[in-house]
Formats: sequence, C-alpha cells, structure tokens
Amino acid sequence: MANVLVAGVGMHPTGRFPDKSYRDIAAVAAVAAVEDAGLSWEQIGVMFASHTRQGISAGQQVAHDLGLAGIPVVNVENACASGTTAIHEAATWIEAGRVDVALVVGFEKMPKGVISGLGEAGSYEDRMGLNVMPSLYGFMAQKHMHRYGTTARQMALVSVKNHQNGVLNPYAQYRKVVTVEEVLHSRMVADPLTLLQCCPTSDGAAAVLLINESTVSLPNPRRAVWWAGSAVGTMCFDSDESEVSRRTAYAAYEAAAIGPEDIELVECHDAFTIGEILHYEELGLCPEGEGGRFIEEGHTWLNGKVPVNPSGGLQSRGHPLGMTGVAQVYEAVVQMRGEAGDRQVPHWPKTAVTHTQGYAGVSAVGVLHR
Amino acid sequence: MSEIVQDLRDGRAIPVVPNAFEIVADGSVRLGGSECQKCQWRTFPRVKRCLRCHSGDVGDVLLIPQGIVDSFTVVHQGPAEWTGVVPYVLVRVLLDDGVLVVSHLRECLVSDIRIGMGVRGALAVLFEEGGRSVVGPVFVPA
Ligand SMILES: [Zn+2]
Repeated sequence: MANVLVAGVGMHPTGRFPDKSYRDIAAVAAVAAVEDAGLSWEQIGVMFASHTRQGISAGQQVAHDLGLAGIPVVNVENACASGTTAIHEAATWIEAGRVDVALVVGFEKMPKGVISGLGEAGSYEDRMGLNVMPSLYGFMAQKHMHRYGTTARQMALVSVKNHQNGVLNPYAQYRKVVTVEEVLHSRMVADPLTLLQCCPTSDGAAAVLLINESTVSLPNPRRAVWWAGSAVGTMCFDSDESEVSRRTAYAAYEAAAIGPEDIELVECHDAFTIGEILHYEELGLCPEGEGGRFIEEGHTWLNGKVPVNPSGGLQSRGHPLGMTGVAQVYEAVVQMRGEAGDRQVPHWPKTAVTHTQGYAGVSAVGVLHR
Repeated sequence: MSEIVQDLRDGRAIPVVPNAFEIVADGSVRLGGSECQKCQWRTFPRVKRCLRCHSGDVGDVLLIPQGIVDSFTVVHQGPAEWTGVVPYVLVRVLLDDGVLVVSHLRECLVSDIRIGMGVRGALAVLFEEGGRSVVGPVFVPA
C-alpha cells in the first residue's frame, strides 16, 4: 500500500464574506495548497470536495473555476465530519494506486443562527423542537456535570483557551480574548451552554494536497507530513457520541500504529465547550471523567503537554461545516513544520491528531506524523 | 389535561404528529412506540425495522410514559419556528421498561430539575398553528 504525504495546505480566512461565493473562497484555499506544495495542476488526479449545504455538484463548480478539467470530482457530505472524511477517502485513492496526487477542498457558506432543521421534516423530533444542535450538547454537558462533577468554569476554560489561541491565528473568525466571567455571563443558548461556548456559523474554505510518497517528487520534501492513518465511524446500536468518537479514534491510531501517549497535538471538534472536554477522554488524552480537570490543570493550552486546538478551534477559528476537518489538517501541518508563527507550539509536534464529529452519530479521525 | 383531550376530540387541537400518543380508557396517556416481534426490542417514536436485529417484523406498542430523567437542558435559542416559545425544557427520560424518550418537561422550575428525578407523561399544548393548538406528549414531575 502506498504511503500518503500531505504535501501542501492552504486556507481562506473564516468569517462572513457576503460579497464572495463559495466558489471564490474555495478557489483561494485550493490555489494556496497547490502553490504550497510546489506541484503543477496537471499532476492532480482527483479532487474531493467537502461541503454540506452548497448544492448539487458544488465540487464540480469549484473544479471548473480552477481549470481542473477532465478529472474525477467527488462531493463528500458527512455533516461536521465531512472534511476529515474527504481526506480519508482521498488518501484511500492514493493508497489503492488509483492516483498519485489528490486535491481536497473543504468549503461552506452558512446562514446565521443555530443549526436546526436536522433530520426529517415533519418527524416527531422536528415538530417537537428537539433537533437543535446546542440542546444535544446541553444533554451531554448536564450528564457529565452530574456524573463526574465537571464544572461550568471548566467548560468555560475551553472557550477562553481557544479564543486566546485564535487571537494568534490570522485565519480565525473571532480574534478576541474572552474571560471566564464573560463566557459564563454571555447569553444562555442551551443550559449550561452559553453563547460563548457555542461555535459560530461561518463562511470559509481550506484545502490540502495529498501525494503518493514513492511516485511524486516534491521540490521541498522536508515540509511534507505523513497522513499516517485515519478512520470514519458511525454510532453503534444503543451507543452514544462518545462511543463512536472513541472507537473511530482508536481505529485511526491502529492504522497509524500509534497510541494515545504518542499524541503531541490535537485539533478536535469543540463545536461546544463540553465537546472538547469529552474528546480529551474519547481520544485517550486523559481517563474518562477527568476532561474538566485536564484543561484546568493546563495540559491542553498552547504551552501544555498536549496542546488542543492551537488554531482557535471551532470556537474561535469558526466552523464552516465542510471546511473544518480540512482546516484542522492545515493547522496540524503548519505546527509540525514549525510555520505557525505566533501560535507555534514550543516543540514542533511529531504526531498530531485531527477529529471531527457530527449530526446523527458520525465521527472521523486522522493521524499525522513527521 | 381533560380540557386538552376534549379539544382534541372537538378538533380545536391537533396532535403534533400522528400516532405519537394515545389516550387510554382511564384518561391517561401512552406513547406510540414500536416493538420487534422477533427480539422484543422497544423504541419510541415508531420505526419500520428493528434497529437491533434488523427484523422487519415490528409491531405497535403503547408505552407507559413513566421513568427517570437521564439528562436535560433548557433551550433558550431553538429552531426559528420556536422563537416565540423559548425558553423550553427538554428532557431525555429512561422509561421503566428501558426505552429512552426525548420530550419537553413541564410544570417544573428549572432550579428543581435533577438527573434521576421521577417523571410521568402528560399532554400539553406546544404551540398554535392555523388557529388550532398543537398537542404533544410531554413529561411532568411524578
Ligand atoms: Zn429485533
């Protein structure tokens, strides 16, 4: 099986861009990734487009604008896990020997307000007002607080940390420091989650260029990072979101031949602050029930033993659904290269993990290694 | 509750979705669930196939809405059509027969809600639509 390298990464800033189409922002990220790798457009054998609500064949529209004629274009929709899923799929094309170079572009332009209207229109859940994303995380938060004594302050620290990181990221949507008090006293969305504990809806795009390590020569091979293993999972019968994230993470670790003790940097799905605390546990960074204490003790801050979401995460960088999993890999790669500027973690990580989780029990995890 | 039942009979109120609940002879409410005829797995709301053993032989069952709160949240910003209705309390309830049901909690102060507290089913008006009340199955403290 071929070894896959991430050879190039690129981003368009995250935010609100009413004057730009999804095609405009996706193209900016794609061009940046191809130029970053120093490869030619003719070498690209397939393009994967990750998006959730941009309409039919949105990936083909982006490919058209890039002049990528004639190659297969595959659109990937896996809710918030779309981006990670698209990279996972693109990597399998290279591993299988179908293509030598794959471009993955994740993009989204989103309306304002909470993500609702999930599931089937007219269903019990829809008509009863149950299908609203923050409330699903509100349930998780209340349960974790009840079972393990996790506190509102510990959850607020996730927002404080990630906003602090986002200030240092020129691509982040909200580059503003927030305090614990500001987080806790911001407007309540789904008790105990306040507004500053919920990621924004955003416009944005990110791209990565994957290559077959043995057939493609790079102008600057030292900047490339291994795509060491990945997995995509769906919830088991009678399980929950934590189960699927844990199982998917360990499948990715096995594919990459690592253990949780090897992880030096994480970009995870902090759509809501409780999510990040749960993901510490699911990804094996700390024992079950100790996620709240883990952030309080400083382990996941920029200078901690396992920095989590140095990009600012979904909380601060923003969360254009189709972009997120791709933007996470952008962050992991620039950190591993030592090119992250003001937010560079002290020791350039050797092993990094990216994790996304989405509606209806989907999860996707990738492992990068240098 | 008897007023709601009368409104449903007279057409002044409508059920939120068909078959979500039934009112039995003694006037109490039951939830319209499914039971697998092969492995006896029960669930709510209704399904067409068993999610546990994949059997297509699934029958209707009326579930007694009685159990304990597994988790809860207070929704302050809901779907657009719920803008005038917030805040509302959602609970995930573990029924005595093992089925998990998510619905609204009524007649309880937010400060009094506890995971593990006992609740029972009731009917409540959720919102108004086309001049009629929309009624759904909710929980209240037991
Ligand atoms: Zn069955």
